[in-house]
Amino acid sequence: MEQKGSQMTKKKILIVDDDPDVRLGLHIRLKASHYETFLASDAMMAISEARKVQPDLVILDLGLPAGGGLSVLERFRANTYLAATPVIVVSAKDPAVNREESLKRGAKDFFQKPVKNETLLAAIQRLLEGDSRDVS
Amino acid sequence: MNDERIQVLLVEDNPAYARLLAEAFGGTESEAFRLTHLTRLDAGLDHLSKNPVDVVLLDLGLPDADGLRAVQGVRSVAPSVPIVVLSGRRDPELALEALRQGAQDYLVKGSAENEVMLRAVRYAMERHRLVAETELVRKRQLQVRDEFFSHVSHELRSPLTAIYEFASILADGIAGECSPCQRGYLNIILRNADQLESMIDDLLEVTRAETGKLTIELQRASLRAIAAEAVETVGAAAAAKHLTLCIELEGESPPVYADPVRLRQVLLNLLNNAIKFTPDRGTVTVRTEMWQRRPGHVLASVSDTGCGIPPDALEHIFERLYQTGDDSVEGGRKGLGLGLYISRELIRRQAGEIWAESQVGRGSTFYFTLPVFSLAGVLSPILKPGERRQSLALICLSLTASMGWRSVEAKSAAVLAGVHLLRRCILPDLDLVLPQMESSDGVERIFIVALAAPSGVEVLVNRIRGQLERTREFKDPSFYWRISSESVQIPREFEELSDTEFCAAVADLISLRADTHGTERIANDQEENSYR
Repeated sequence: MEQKGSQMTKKKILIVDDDPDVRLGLHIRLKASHYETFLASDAMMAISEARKVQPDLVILDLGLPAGGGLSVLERFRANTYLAATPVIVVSAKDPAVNREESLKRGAKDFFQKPVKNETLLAAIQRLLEGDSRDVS
Repeated sequence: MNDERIQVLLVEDNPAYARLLAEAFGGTESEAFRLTHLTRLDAGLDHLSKNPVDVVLLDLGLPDADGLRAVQGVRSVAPSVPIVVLSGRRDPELALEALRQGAQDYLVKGSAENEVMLRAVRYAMERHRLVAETELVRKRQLQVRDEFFSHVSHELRSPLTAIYEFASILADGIAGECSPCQRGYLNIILRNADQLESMIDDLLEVTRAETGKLTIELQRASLRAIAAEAVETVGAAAAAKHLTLCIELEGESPPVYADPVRLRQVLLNLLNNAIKFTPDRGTVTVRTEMWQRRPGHVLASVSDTGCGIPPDALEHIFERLYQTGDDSVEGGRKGLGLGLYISRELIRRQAGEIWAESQVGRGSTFYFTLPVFSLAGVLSPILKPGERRQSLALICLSLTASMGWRSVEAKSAAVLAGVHLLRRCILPDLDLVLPQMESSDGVERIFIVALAAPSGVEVLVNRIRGQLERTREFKDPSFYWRISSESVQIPREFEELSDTEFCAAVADLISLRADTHGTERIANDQEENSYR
C-alpha cells in the first residue's frame, strides 16, 4: 500500500528463525534500520505469514525444526508470487554444503551465523534496491 | 579358477631350505597352501605385483637384496601383504628392526620345525588383519568425533548470535542512550564474542585437518599481495598497541604454488600472535625473500620485538592446545591454542615447512616456506612421456566486475566459483586449471590447459559457456565474464628434447600464449563491448 505524503513506504522483511532471542535481536536491529518486520518461528508460520504479508525480503534460518529451512525455500519457489521474493539464508551450519543447497533452491545469498550487522544490512539493501533477478 | 588355498610366496635362494619348507607346507598336494618359490627379490616383487599373495616368507640373505632392504621392497610393492622374515643369524636387533619395518614375524632357520613354520604363517596373517581392522576403527572414531565437534560447533553459534546481536544493539544506542563507559563494557562483550567465534572455527578446522578434510586449492598465487593484504587487515589491532607494522620484500618474489585463502589464514594467525605477544610501541615485520637453503622455494617470516619464547617451549608451540603459561602477557591465555597447529598443517599440505626462532626478552620470528610456482612442474604429470602431443588447447576464462571488485573476498569467491565450474566441466586428470591471480587491470584470468584436439576444444568451450550462463554467481549483472580459446601448436623441434626439457619448453610456450590472451583479448572486447 503506497502511503501519500512525504513518508517513504517502509520495506517489509519477514524474519524466520526458531530461536526466539535471535529473532528478537534481528527484529530490533531491522526496525532501527527503518524496516517493517514480521516474525515466524517455523516453516508453516513462514509460509502463512509470507502469503498474508507479502514481504519485500525474507531472512530465513536454515536450522528450522524438522528440516524446515530448505522446505521453506522450495515452497516459496513453487508459489508464483513468493518465487519473486528475495530470500537471504542465515545458518549456523557449515557453509560448505549448505550454501550450494540453498542457492540451488533459489536463495539469493547465504551467511553463516553470527553475521556482522554491516554485512547483513548491506546484503538486504543490495537485494531491495537491485533489479528483479532471474530465479534459477 | 577360484583358488581357496592360502597363497604363500617364498623368496629364498637356498635350495635345500626351500625344499624343506615346501614339505612343511604339504607340498603340491596340499589343500591348504599353495607355495610359490622364487630365488631373487626382483622376481619376488614382480610376482607380488601381478599375483594375489596372502603371505610372504622372505629370506634376509638374498643375492640381490641385503637384509632389511628386502622387507622395504616388499612393503612398497604390496603394503597389504604380511611378511615373515627368515634369517640364518640369531640377531635380536635385526629381528626388532624387521618388525619395525613392517614384518609380522621373524624366524631363525634351523630352529623352525614344520609346526612352528605353519603357526608363524597363520599368526602373521591374523596379526596383519588385526592391524588393518584397528586402523579402520581408528578412522571411524575420528569420523564420529568430527561429526560430534561439527554438531557442537553449530549449536554454539545460535546463542553466540544472540549475544552478539544484543550487545551491538545496546552499544549502538538502539535501546536508549549508551554512555561511553557502557559502550566500553559492551565492546568487551563483543570482542569476546569474536574470540569465541574464532575458537569455534578453529575447533572445526582441527577436526577437518585430522580427518583429512582440509580443503586446499593449490593455484598460482602472489605471496606479496596476500602478505600486504594481511598486514592491512591487522592494522587496527596493531595501532591499538601503537605497534609499528613493516613489510619488507627482498629481491625477487615469484608467484608461489599455494592456496591464497589458506595462506592468508596462516599469515593472519602469525600476525595476530605477534601483535598479542609484543608490548606497546614494539615492531612487527613481515618479510618475503627467496630461500637460500633450497632453490625453488620462497621464505616468508613474521618477526616481532615481543617477549620471546623460552627454548623448552619452542619445541611444543606447534602442538595442539599448547598455550603459553605466561600470565604476564595480556590475553596470553585466550584462544584454544590451535592456531599454530592449524597453520603447520596448512603449510605442510602446501609442500612447505614452518618453524620458529626466538630469544626471550628480544622477540620471535616465525618462518615458513612455499614452493615457487612452476608451470613445467605442474604440467609434467599430464604431459606423459612417450605420448608427445602436437597441440594443446589453452582456454581462458576472464572475470571482472563493472564497478570494481567489492572486496578481496568477493574477488576470491568469484575466482573460486570459476575454478570449481571449470573443474566440473573438464575431465579430471587430463586437464589443468591454472588461475592467474596477478591481474593489473582488475581482470582475473583463469587458464585451462587441456589435452584436446582442436574440434574437442570447441565442444569444451561451448560446454563451459553453457554452464556459466546457468550459474547464479555469474548472472549478477555487475559481473562480466568471457571465454577465449586457442590451439597451441607444439613445434616439431620439441620432439628432440628430453622429457624435462620438453615440459619446460611447453610451459614457456603456454605462458607466452597465456600472456597474449591476457592483454590482447580484453582490449578487443572493450572496443566491441562483447562481454556477456
